[in-house]
Amino acid sequence: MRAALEEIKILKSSIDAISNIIDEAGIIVSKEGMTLRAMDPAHVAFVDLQITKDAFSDYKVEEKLTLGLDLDRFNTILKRAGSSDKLTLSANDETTMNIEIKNSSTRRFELPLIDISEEEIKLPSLDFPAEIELDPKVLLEGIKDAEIVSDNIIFKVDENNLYLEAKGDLGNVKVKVDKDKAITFRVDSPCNSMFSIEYLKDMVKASDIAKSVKVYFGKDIPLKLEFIAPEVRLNFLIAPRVESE
Amino acid sequence: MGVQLGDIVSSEIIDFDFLKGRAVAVDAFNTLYQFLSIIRQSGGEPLSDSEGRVTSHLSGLLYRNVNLIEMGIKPVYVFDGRPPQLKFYTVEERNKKREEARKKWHDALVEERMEEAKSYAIQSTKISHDIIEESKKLLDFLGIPVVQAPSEGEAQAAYMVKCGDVSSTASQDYDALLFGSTRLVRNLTITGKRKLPRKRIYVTVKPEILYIDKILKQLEITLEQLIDIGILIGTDYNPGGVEGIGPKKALKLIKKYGSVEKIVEKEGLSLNFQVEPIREIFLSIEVTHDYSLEWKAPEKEAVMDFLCYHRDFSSERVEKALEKLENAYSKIKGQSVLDTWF
Repeated sequence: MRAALEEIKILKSSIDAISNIIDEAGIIVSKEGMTLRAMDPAHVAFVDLQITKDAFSDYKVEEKLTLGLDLDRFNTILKRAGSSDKLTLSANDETTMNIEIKNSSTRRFELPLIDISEEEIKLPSLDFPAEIELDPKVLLEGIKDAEIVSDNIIFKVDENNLYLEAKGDLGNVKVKVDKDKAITFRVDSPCNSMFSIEYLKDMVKASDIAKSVKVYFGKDIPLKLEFIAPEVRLNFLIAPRVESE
Repeated sequence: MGVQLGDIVSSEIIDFDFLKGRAVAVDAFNTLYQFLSIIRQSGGEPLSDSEGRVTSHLSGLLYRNVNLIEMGIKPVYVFDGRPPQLKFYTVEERNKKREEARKKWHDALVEERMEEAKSYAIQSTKISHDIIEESKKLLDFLGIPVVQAPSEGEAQAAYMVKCGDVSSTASQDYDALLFGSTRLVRNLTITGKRKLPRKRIYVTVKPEILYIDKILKQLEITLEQLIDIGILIGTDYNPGGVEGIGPKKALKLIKKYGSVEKIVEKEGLSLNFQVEPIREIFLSIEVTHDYSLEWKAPEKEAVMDFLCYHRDFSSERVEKALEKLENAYSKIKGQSVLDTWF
């Protein structure tokens, strides 16, 4: 396979967002594009990434391959590429992947691939009482605000507003997003759920690839983030924290 | 002790991160035995309080569990119940050896052979009734669940893995695999460095995981046949196994003939034990579903009172450990996993 990318941000930011959550994963390279689906070791977060072939300036795949990646290492290499560089991924088999970064020089990295024996994961179907589309910056800033006081963030909606809240020994934070300021706003019933910021703050690193992000949640069910960008599907699921005592 | 399968089963080195968020059923006796043998002073004496009572196990349990929970790992300790009848001989033999080692330890101390003294001290390690009870008490105060097995702890732990209540068993012994544990983690509860016996060499130990399905696939045998290999090389229920048969030879024979009975028949061996009752232990020993796995915030005052007031631990150090534990606990508290929705 051989895939050249000129808009390298989509790959850089997606892998940057994923690599802190998931250590190892297989990228499935097929004629249609590249997909990566994986759950983190703690089974708290799930990632579903697809980059369609149209995202690439040049895309050739003869046979379907599963490229087992140490995502941390892959991310380290991708970070070496600047935004105006051209990136080419190539692999002849499932043992090594070549990463070429081209600008005024040609830099070529050989990344040994690893054995991934993960079975394919089917996505669950969930009914979300709340579905809100936002500017990704709003979500990003809200999570950064919450992080100042707590490890957890509460997503809450009523008929008119979305609230991001955090409570800690050092104080409280409340971010309010007006219905009119959201891109779309659907709430079947008011609800709230709490999530770990540790995961969310990595997920929102993908913000710069998307024009908008859809946030789906409910009462004590997972939260889904859907980054909306052309030629890319990037979804995250995160399991809630259930308040006890 | 346990079945010496190390030479034929392959394992994968893992990061502690691999176990993050997972519950692990720890073989309590195996772990206590490690704490009691490793946590010793230079002449081999275990840590003790002002009344001379051993405290190595309490120290090990406190600090190790703080580390594990800080890494997001949720331990549950499984204690042995009444061993199967067939194990009594092994238990007796071990007691005798311990008694001999204890005598040699004292002789070595008198003659100031310190290296040897420590080695004998380790061999004399014994888990007393008091040690078990104190360990359960401390774990309870720390908010860590304890499960009492009706019989063998490793069988109970394996059962909990099979039920999906924990992700793996943790033990240095391989026996849990024979009891059907789908995953076994070794080197979980020991620190980064381990001294090689009778040598002044330290090796770095990393946790490793063994998957039963991968092992069986690689060896091209069934679980029943792996049990048979165990029986040939020797288990706690037939120590020594068949003379002259080690793991590699046992594997070869099983692959050639299929079962212990066939090997006996074709190779004209005579056994000084019965095969079926041992197999029976591994396949259908009594286990219980009567357990609840809940990790709670530590009872700080109870821990301080027990360890510092009664057992002479430094209150400064215990307080620090408890603070770490509380912080780590608040991170794992209430976090659900996605499996419920998948």
